[in-house]
Order: sequence, then structure tokens, then C-alpha cells
Amino acid sequence: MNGWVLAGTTFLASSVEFVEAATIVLAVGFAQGWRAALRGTLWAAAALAAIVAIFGPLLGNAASLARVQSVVGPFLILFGIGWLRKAVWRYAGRRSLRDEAAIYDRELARLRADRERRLGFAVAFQGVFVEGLEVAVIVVTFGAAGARSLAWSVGGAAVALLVVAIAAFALRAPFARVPENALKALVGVMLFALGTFWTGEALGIAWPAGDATLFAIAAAYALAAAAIVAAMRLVDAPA
Amino acid sequence: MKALAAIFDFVTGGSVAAPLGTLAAVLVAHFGRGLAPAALATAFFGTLLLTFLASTLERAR
Repeated sequence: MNGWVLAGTTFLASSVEFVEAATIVLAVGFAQGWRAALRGTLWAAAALAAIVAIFGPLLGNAASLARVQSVVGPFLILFGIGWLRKAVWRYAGRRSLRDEAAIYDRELARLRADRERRLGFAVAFQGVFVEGLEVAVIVVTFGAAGARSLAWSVGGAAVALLVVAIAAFALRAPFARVPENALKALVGVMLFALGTFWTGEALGIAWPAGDATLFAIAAAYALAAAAIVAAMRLVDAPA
Repeated sequence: MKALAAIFDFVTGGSVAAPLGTLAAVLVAHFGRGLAPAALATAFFGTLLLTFLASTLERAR
């Protein structure tokens, strides 16, 4: 499996989740001080790194690649369907688009109203941990795809963390202009396609064009998602 | 029960169609071994495509 595909997908998935986590961390920082915000962030990052460090090599050292793929493939399918269908709902207007600026304002008001300083640490920890958990699972499952896969997937997530952290530090404001839904749709398509490809391989399916079939599968899922969005918009359009 | 529901939601995003359809695709691949390779790949992929469709329409408001 191409390392760049793994790294690119974990980079995109991580970017989306880290942008959401950054909104919470920034709110904590401005409302209750940067010490609590950074402590919560670092503890959550350490907990996520521990999950990847423990479970990544564990899966990677499993008996055979086919056996690993048969376990992680269905998980990627489920995660992919979850990401993609939410993106479809948002594009179709059946679910509101995530508004980072509004979430930031709400968190800021809630934290300023609370006088308990420990809340800041807890909110930052929870925000980063919850948003990062799915990324940690994705990184671990991608890491099981073969030799050096874990390095590629961890690398993608690490670069995303660095980019979002630098941008958050530079802007000191929520990322209101990041095209989150487009990124989520893209990640959903890639997770779904990779899950389909790996599960099929593990079950003995001979994909017609080998590894290149992955991109055909991804294109088909993207087209299907676009068709569902168009159909939903048509149904919902006022007569 | 609450913990199980939370794990189910985390893995499936709250969809019932997604895990059932994935299971159906695995069964198609398992029991369809006698089919031609291209037909088996198409059946497996088609089942997952339908799963996505069912999951998306499952709770679309």
C-alpha cells in the first residue's frame, strides 16, 4: 500500500479533528488561562500517544497481514460510512454545518461563567482526547497495513498536529474558514475505500486492477455520495 | 448497557445499517467463492455501496 495514501488520509482526518480540538483549547486558554489549556492538551496528547504506542505495534506484529486486514478493514468501512454520511447530510442541508466560531463563543461564555479553575483543564483534556480518539484508532489500524505503515500514518497525524498548532498560535482565533465538510467527505471516502479494499483482499477477492482498484472504488463512493446529495436536495426543494 | 451503546455509537456513528451491511458483504465474499473473480468483487463492492446508501437514508432528517 502506498505510504503517501496512508499519510495523506491520516493527515486530513487528523487536521479536521485537531481543528475541532483547537477551538475548545483556544476557548479554555482565553477564558481560564493558557496553563490549564496547555496542561489539558498535553495530557490528552500523551494519552493518545500511549494508545498508538501500545496498540500500533501490537497489531503490526500480528500473525499475518490478511488476518489483520480482516479485523481492521470492517472498522475502516464503519468509520468511513460514518464520516461520509454526515458529510452528505450536511451538503444536503439535513444537518447544520459545523460552525467553529459559534462553538468557540459558546465554550468561552460557559468557561467564563464558571469560577472553578479545574474545569479548564478538564475541558481541554476532554476536547483533545475525544476529538483525537478516532484519529488514534485510524492511525493504529492504518499502521497494521504493512511494514513502515505505522511510521507513515503517525507521520501524517504528527504533521497535521504541527500545522494546526502553528496556525492556532498564529491566529489565536477559531478556524472559521477551514472547509471542514469537504475534508470530512474526502476522509470518509478514503476510509471507506481503504476498508473495502483491505477487507476484500483479506477475504480472498482478486481486485481487477490490483492496487489501482482502490482509486476506482474511492471514485465510485464519491460519485454515489454526490448523487445522494443531489437527490436529497431535489426532494427537499420547495415545489 | 450505556457503555456498550457508547462503543456502538463510536464505531458505527449510530447506524444499524452500517454493521449489518458490512456483515452481509463479508458473507457475500465468503459464500460467493464459486463465482468468477470479477463477479465476486462486484457483488462485494455492490453490497457495501448499498450499505452506504441504506446508512445515509437511515436517519436522514
